[in-house]
Amino acid sequence: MKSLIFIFVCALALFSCNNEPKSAFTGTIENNTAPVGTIPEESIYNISDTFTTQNKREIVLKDFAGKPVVLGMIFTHCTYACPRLTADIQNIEKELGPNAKNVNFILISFDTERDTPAQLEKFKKEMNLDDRFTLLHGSEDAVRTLSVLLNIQFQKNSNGDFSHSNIISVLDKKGNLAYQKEGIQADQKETIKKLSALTMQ
Amino acid sequence: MVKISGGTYTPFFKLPGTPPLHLRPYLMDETAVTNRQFLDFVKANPKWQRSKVSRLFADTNYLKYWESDLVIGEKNKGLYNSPVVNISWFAAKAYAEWQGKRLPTVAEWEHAGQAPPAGGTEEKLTQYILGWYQKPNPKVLPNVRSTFKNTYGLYDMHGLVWEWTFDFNSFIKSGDSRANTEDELKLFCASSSLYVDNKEDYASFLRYSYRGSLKGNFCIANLGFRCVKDL
Repeated sequence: MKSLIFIFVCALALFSCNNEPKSAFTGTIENNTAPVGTIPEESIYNISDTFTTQNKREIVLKDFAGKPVVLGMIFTHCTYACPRLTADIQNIEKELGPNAKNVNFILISFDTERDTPAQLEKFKKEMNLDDRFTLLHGSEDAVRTLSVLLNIQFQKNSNGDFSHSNIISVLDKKGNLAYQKEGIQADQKETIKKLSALTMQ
Repeated sequence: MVKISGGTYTPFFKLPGTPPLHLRPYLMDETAVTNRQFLDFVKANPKWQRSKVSRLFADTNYLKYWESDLVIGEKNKGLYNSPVVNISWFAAKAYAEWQGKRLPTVAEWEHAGQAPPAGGTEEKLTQYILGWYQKPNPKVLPNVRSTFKNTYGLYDMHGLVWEWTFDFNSFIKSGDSRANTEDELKLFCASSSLYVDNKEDYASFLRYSYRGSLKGNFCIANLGFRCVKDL
């Protein structure tokens, strides 16, 4: 196990060489201890695109395996829907109580141009998101692929903003799409119930 | 591939106050990708063979009319040069990447598809398209280049198959999307039609609706694709 951790740290060190700043990564995705096993055929974790976190760490979605995930797609320049959708996810976290520590919370940006890791970090602070939240920047291709897998419609408008559906998705520990709820300020009782059940699995 | 000049493109559905999109010039395949061409792809990329493909990326209708993984088949001998259909968005995208190309955006596809038949007019084009949309699917899908060539030199942009686009899941205002999308602040029926650029262009409306009904792993008998490339 120790040697595995060593390899893991080395791999991260290699990654960090490509990034600024060069310091070792900060923060962890707290799920690497849980056994993941194989990734099922229909799991979203089968996509191999890399994303960059608000801490400028390069990850693949599979890195979130081991805990259920609550996921929203947003863009930070959004003035109407996205702050509300983000608040909805924060409420889910609150409602989960102590069980929230067993869940990963992810926000992925549509805005591949403006939502740099630094901008995502800024948004995280502004929205008072705690460290259970990971905000992700991806390539246009990776973001589109994910939106297709999650059946989330979005379009970039010529003014740089995005039209998009508002959907909160729940993934199980292995990345299977387990539940989706559409709409802003929607009733999330079912989402919370689903998440609670998934953390027990 | 042929060069498509850039320009401004006004999306069919657009929000009030948003200017038209600027498109850079690009190259586009003259025809849809054929069965024969797609066979080369699956030979070189086993994970895209029918028996091996992941259900996440293609439903059970994937290449279902082929005889087997690597055989289009005797019964399909008329189809070698017909567009490959029953392929998912993921498969089409993987093919494009394998070729060093990509799928066209909706804007790129529509911009290229707006060109009238060489020597024809745009009004005739709309009539032609609507005529095709009314017809049932042919029993045997004709070969590529069997319909008209447009002024860009592209064949069969309308009249043969529907085609995948990179951002087919772009936002569309549909009747059942109320309260679901960011811009839908005015929650009343038929709000979508307010944002339609040209209310007369029913043909475009049908294409956007069709795209809006797709999911990435759908494999459909009249849906193929062609690729584009940056200049």
